[in-house]
Formats: sequence, C-alpha cells, structure tokens
Amino acid sequence: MNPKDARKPAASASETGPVYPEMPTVVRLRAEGDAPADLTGWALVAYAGAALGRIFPLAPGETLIGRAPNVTVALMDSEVSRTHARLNLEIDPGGSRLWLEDLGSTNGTRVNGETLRAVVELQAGDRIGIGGHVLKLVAMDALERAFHETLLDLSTRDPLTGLANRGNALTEFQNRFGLSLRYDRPLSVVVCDLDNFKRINDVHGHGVGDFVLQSFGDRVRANLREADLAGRIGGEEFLMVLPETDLGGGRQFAERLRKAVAATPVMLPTGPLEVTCSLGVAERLGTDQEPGQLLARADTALYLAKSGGRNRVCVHALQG
Amino acid sequence: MPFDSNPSDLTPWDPATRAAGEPPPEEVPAPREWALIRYVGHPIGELIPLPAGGLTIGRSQENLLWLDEPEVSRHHARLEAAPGGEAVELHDLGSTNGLFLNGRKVEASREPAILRHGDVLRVGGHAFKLKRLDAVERQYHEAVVAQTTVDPLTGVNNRATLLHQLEKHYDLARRHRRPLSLILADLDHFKRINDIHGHAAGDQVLRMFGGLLLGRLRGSDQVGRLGGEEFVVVLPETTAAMALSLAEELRRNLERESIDVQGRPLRPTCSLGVAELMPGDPDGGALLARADAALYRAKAGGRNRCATAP
Repeated sequence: MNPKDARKPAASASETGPVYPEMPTVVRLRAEGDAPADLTGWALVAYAGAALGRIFPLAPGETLIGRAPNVTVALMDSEVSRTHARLNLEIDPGGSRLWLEDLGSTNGTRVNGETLRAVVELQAGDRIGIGGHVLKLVAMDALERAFHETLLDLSTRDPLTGLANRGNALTEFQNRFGLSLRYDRPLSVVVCDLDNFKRINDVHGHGVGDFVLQSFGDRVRANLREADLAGRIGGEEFLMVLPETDLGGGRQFAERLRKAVAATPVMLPTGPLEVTCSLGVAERLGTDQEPGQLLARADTALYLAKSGGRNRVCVHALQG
Repeated sequence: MPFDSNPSDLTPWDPATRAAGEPPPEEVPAPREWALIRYVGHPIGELIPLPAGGLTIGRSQENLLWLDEPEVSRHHARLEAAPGGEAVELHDLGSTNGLFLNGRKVEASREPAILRHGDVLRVGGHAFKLKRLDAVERQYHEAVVAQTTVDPLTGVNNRATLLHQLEKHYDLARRHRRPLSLILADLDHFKRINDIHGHAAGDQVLRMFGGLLLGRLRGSDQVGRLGGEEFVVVLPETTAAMALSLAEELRRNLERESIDVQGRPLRPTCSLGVAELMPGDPDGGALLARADAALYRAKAGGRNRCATAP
C-alpha cells in the first residue's frame, strides 16, 4: 500500500454508513479472546454519549478525535476539545499496533477509566473515555460489521422511503447549521409537503399512500447532490439540507424536484396517479442563532406555497 | 405552522447521555453477567441474559430462548455458567441438529461444550454472540435496541416492531386456540391540532397519549405507533368484549386529560376500533384490517367513541 494512501482519513459514517478503508491483511492487535479468523479491520464504536451506536472505522496512519468538524472521529460534546486525541495505527509485517495520545485536551482522555499521562498502546476491547463519550475498540469481522451496520441503519433511516428518519435528519441539520455558522458558509433548507396526501390515503388506501411516499423518496434521491441531506420528518413532510447553497441555489433545487414530481405520475395498477408537492425554501441569515429559526422561515414559505394553490415553490427572502 | 422555532426533538434522543456534572460512566471493564446478544435475526441487538438457573433453547414455548425454527428441537440445548464463572457450558438436551458454534456443527455428546466470551452460536436463521457484560456494555446494548424498536417521540414500540409482535401473537393464538384481540386507536382531528396549535402541541398530544396507553398495559400486552396519530394495542388472551371495555376505559382516560397550549387547555379525544381474531383471518394483518374497519365506523359515528368489528 502506498504510504500516502494509508494516511487518507476514513469517510464520515453519518449518512451512508461507514466506509471501511482498505485494510492490509496483517492486522494482529491482541483481541478479546481469539482474534476472529476473518478479521477485516478495527473500529471505534460509541458505547455511550451523544454518538451512541456510531462506528468509526480506523484507517492505517493517524486518526484525530475531537469536536472540530474536520476530524475523523467527530464528537459533539462540550467536554471534548477541538482536537482532543490522536490514534496511530501502525501496519508492519510483524503485526499491527495502535497508539493513543492526548493532544493537550482541557478535560483529558481516559483509557479503561485511567487518565492518560503518556502515549499508550491499545488492545482490542479497550475503552477510550472522552467527555461523556465512551469509545470501544472493536475487532471487525464480517458478523460484527453486519451487526453494527444493521443497527445503525435501523436507527437512522426511515424504512419506507430509505431517507434519513426524523431524529437523524434533525440531528444532522443541527450539525450542519453549526458548521455553516462557525465558518460563515451559506446553508439553505427546503421543507416539502406532498399535496393532498390525506386524500390519497382516504381514496386509494394506505398501501397506495405508502407507495407514493416511496416513489417520492426515489425522486428526492435522484435530485440530491453528494453533500445534501434529505429526511422524512413527518407523515408526508420532508426536510432537505443543502450545504454551500444560497437561496437561489435552494430555489433551483426545489423547483427541479417539484417539476420532477409533477411530470412523472406514480404508476398504479389502476392507472397513473398525479402527485404534486409544495416546497418552502430559506437560507441561513446572519441573525440566525438557532437552527429552529431557519426551519421556521422555510416553514412559513411552505405555508405560502400551500395557501397559494400548492404544486409550487416559495422562498423566504425577508430578514429574520 | 408546522414548526415552532425550537422543535422539541432537535436534540437527539439518547438515553445514555448523562446530565452535565455527573461523573463519567463506568469505563473500567468489569464483566459481571453473561448474556447472549442477537446478532442475526429479529429483534437484532436483543440482549438475552443468562439466568442463574441456566438458559434453555428450543422450539417449544416454555424455553427461555424460544426459537421457532424447523431445524430446532422442542427442547434443544441449555446454556449454564461454568463453575468459577469464567466460561459457559452448552449442554445437549437431545438433538443438537442445526446448532453451530463458531461456524462448526455441535455434535451430540454427553460432555458439555465450553463457550467463552465472543463465541458465536448459530441456530437456523439466528446468530447469537455470547458476551460477558458490565454496566457500560449492558447500557449500550439496551440503548441501541431501544433506538431501533421504540418510537422516540412517544416511547411506545415503532411500526416495524409492533407489526412483528402482532404476527408472533397471531401464530401463538392460532396454534394454541387462544383468544387474541386488537385495539386500533386514532386521535380525533389531529391534523387540525397540528395546523392550529403547531407541531409542538401535536407532539405533546402524541406523547401524552403514548404514556396513557403504556400506563394501562398488562404484562403481555403490546402497544405501538403505527404511524402519524394511529396507535395499536395487541391483547393476547383477550376476547372482543374484554378489549372493548379496555378501549372504552382508554377513551374515557383521554377525555379526562388536557394539555396546556399557551395557557389554554387543549382536550384531545380519540376513536377506537376493536377486533378479535376469527377463524377466517389468514394473518395478523387481517385482524388489523378488521380493527381498521371498526375504527372507520367509530369515526363515522361521530368520533370519541369505540366500535367493534363484526
């Protein structure tokens, strides 16, 4: 493996599930019990704290833990320093070793309950305590990986549409709002509601209603960019978060989605069913301190789109 | 207004988050109790403790770990902590056909197999990992299962879990010819509550109703949120007449409640449909459909009332 590649940080585990770095075959940390035969790599799993259930696969080389957005193991926790601690996974033919070092954090780093005074070598099953978080070093074989990925999926995804569920969408929105505020970057949100959805349910039954929601989820995914986030936040309500996007860009996205939905009826055995949606767009303003303020403006715009006759996009262009 | 400026659930629901100032959670691994964690099968992540008297596995219902799989014997195997507590013994109770330990078939033997922390047992479509847990591990496993099976807003079971439980109780009731009833409850004019008072008030009503249903449960009853403002109560060993009187009690309990919306009381009501399992119902879904028809009649009859399916 090219040493440069080895230092590439692992991708974030937030939306699509963790992306595992390519692992060399020789990884021989001491495991709890015998190391599994099909060991594919190592990961930190959040056993306590706000990130509970999240998996952070470890790539060979350095991995930073902290509150800063650009670190691999990002923990939203006020007791965590921006760059709090550093892991180093050394791969060599004789076996692999993993080292942990505190980077002068305010509240310290603990391993198995003991405050770290120097660089320490970790073993499988060790628990890293940082603020209110506990991260466990887990040997990832195929079963362990499938288990954690399934759990993560079940707790973050809406099973019907495959988009983020309400909890995950609102948490991710909060995180992205924070980033946008801190680095003063544009951020837009789109709130979308399927038109007359209750009538679809009443006339055609819940099965058709569910099918309409599924089809809508597919359309949203087809129109989303890599960094965008879409979630189902209510029965027929959806939230799209668009980082690095101003009000004009947000309006374009919303208009594209509206057209795509209106132009392609949902095909039922009884024939095509026309479905439309209304959308409200708002951009983060300098006066916004809370994510709820931005959401409330997008919602006002959605209300205008609904009361203006549905199947339309409204933007909230006024100050606060 | 669908949203208030500060939706109550912008902070993720997280039972493991401690309040500020509390001491850090126990981080020193201190293994105390043995448990099986369900790694494959439903519900994934489930924690099955190994009691002092041992854990029996089999296809018959009296087993503590009941696995309804054709390759499993009625009384299949027993797990028991080995003397000293450092390992677990797997005793063969007859046929071990279909039982795999770390990928190898367990052969019938008089001697128990010795299992250690991290060993994997496979039976039919299920896999379990044997773990020696301490407080942090236990909290973790309980919290992740709750994240995947509980509706975070109301605390009742989510849709997938509820439907799974319904089918399980359907099978049991069919096999043993026992009564099974179901209540489908729907909050009246809920869309109007959301539209007029905002989503926060709507959420408050849902939480209150979920709490009210949970508070009235008996041991084997199951309550879940089917979606939106629809809740289901699954009642094993219960006839339609008993279910109707419970539904009527729930209706009256809700009628007595009120929530405060900007200083003014809001008094939500609900309509309830009741159905009992009939010989012609091919699955739990059929029972649900008949409860839905009853609910429709309760709604059409003027709401804030109960109706029973014919």
